[in-house]
Amino acid sequence: MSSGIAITGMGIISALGIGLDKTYTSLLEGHCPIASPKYINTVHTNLPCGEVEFSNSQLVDLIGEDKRKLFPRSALLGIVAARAAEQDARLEEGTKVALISGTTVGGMDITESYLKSFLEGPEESDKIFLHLDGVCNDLIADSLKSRVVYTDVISTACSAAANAIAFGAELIESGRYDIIIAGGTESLTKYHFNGFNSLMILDDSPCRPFDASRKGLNLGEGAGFIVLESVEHAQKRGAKIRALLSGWGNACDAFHQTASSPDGKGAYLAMTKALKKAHLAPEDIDYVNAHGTGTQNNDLSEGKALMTLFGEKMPYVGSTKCFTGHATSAAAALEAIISLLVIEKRFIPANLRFETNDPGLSFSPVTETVTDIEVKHVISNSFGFGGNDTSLIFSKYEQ
Amino acid sequence: MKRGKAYIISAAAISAQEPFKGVNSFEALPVEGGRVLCKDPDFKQFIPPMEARRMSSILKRTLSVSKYVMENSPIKCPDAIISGTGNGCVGDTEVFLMKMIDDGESMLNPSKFICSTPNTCASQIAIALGCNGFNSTHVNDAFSMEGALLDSMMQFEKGEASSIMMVVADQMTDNLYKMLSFLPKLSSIPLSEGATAFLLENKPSERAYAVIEDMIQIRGGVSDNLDKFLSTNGLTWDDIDLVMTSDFPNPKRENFAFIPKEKERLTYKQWCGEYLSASAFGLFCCSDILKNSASKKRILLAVRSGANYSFTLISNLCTN
Repeated sequence: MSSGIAITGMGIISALGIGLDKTYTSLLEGHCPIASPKYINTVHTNLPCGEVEFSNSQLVDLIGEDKRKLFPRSALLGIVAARAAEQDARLEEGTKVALISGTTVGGMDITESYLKSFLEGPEESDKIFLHLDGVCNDLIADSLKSRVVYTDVISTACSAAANAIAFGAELIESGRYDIIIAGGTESLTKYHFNGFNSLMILDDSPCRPFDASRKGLNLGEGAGFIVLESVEHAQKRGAKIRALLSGWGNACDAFHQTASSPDGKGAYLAMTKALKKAHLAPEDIDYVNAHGTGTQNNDLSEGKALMTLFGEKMPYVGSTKCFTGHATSAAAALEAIISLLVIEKRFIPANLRFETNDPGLSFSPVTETVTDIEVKHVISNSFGFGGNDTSLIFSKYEQ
Repeated sequence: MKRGKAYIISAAAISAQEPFKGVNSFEALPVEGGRVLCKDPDFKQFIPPMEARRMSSILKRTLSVSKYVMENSPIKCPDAIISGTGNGCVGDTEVFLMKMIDDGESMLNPSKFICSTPNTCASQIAIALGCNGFNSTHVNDAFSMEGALLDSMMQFEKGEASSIMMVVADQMTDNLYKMLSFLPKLSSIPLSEGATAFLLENKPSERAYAVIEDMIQIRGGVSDNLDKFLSTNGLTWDDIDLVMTSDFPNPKRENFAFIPKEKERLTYKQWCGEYLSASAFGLFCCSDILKNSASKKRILLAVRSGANYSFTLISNLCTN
């Protein structure tokens, strides 16, 4: 008997493309889309990233919206993914749902373009509120066929979508809502590029998570949403249960605003809490979809936490940010869906470009794609600024 | 599952009123438009001056108000820190953004960037208190306090925490004020800012002076939902001694027509002005009235933004 929250739908858009099939085949074949930025207007063209291969106007066409209406890119990405999730879950039109999204910059792309006009006069003032995370989430809510009766946005930087998914699961457990659409969305902006560049943690080559010579991360963007409901509710409406969200845990590293503690205390606590919630032991875990950004600090700290938790019995560990880039607030949503595909499609994607072990770590990540493997339980880690550490556990659904 | 209630054992606000004071000393703000500055405490009491110099005002306020609330409680460290903010750390965001736009995309200092994410305040409070527990930040326009409160109540429900620091804040910068003042609908009301903190516990005790019994957030379609909300809690309008609303004392607008006419009403924005997460200040006013007035037993906090509403039931019946 499996315990946990049923996942009955998923939708994704990232540098790997739109949809589950595209995401799966790219991961399986080791196709890496990290490249120079194409759509974002930045001078940092030397910094490769995981950009979604559609312009804003192509995305507006794709969702069939009015071309004259202005959308933040994060809302456009969110609409594509959230609609795909509700369709995948076969939600009937007008189904009451709650929408919980993780995001940080909201409509920063609009603000970057119009900030000077906002300060000069009222001509563009109607666009000011598009900056707000809550307003972006409402644009997504209003685009769905489902009837969104409750919305919330969680903004804990790079763990935001993981916390949104966990909050959604708790809303289900508490009996407050029957169906939750939870995930996250984030678009690349000049703000991201320059912020992370000023921290000097962007690699000017495709990133190499866990490799001793790793130089930093590549930014990414995208959106992912999953549909959550109780197992009973899913069975009652005849929905296909794709997998379970069996555990979740959040802890605060409480060490530094941007750096992770040397021993990965917050990461360890988050994973431990998630295991406890799922009633699982470390040896039950088959694969860790690591936060694995490719920065010296994160990968060492996370690696130490994994060593503390798993000891000698290290499961497969890998970061899929070498495919998608680090989609910041949306990263956990992309990686939740990748983890679900891993369970469903019985494979483990390679942690690309790994060559040399980090002398501080006793393990190496999975370097070749593994196929035809039973994966019952996956931990997906996401860590954010402020030491906000969240782990989600996805489990195979066995009737 | 039994709904978790949140028992308030300590609360305080930094706002347009004197810092850390209660409703009895509040004075109504001018009703016309314009900007009302926050009255800050002496931050040196809470933050070493060297550190404070680098901090944005929202960070200084949230750190100070949460430390003040902790100092006025027997608790050393809460089990969780949950924050709410409509617009996050907009000051530091703005500085980094302006520099990027004005000076180009090079030679930027990361210090403002790293403090610009909305969860900076909750994280810095965790570092200051040494709290490794649950930490989250809700950013949902006018309902950011409500997200944080719902999260807190669910943490209590499942026994994940027995004490929670809930801190809610927004900041008004010079530039943000300038931008917003171009909007006709905001030009007639006082725009302000504030930081409010509550130390919540999961069970009744001698030290709890108010209890948040339940909260509902509604996206459209209010009246049926509100009646159902009251009846689910075993209440009728007769059980409500006061309604604290989010509107301005403006007789031309009737935002809460569904509230029975005879009910006593107060508006908290007459004291704190308008800002996205002002409903936290409204909740503080409710808790302060219940703490100091024996004649009020239960207050309904009614918040409206556009077509959306939230309702929070708060009472001084903490012992049952």
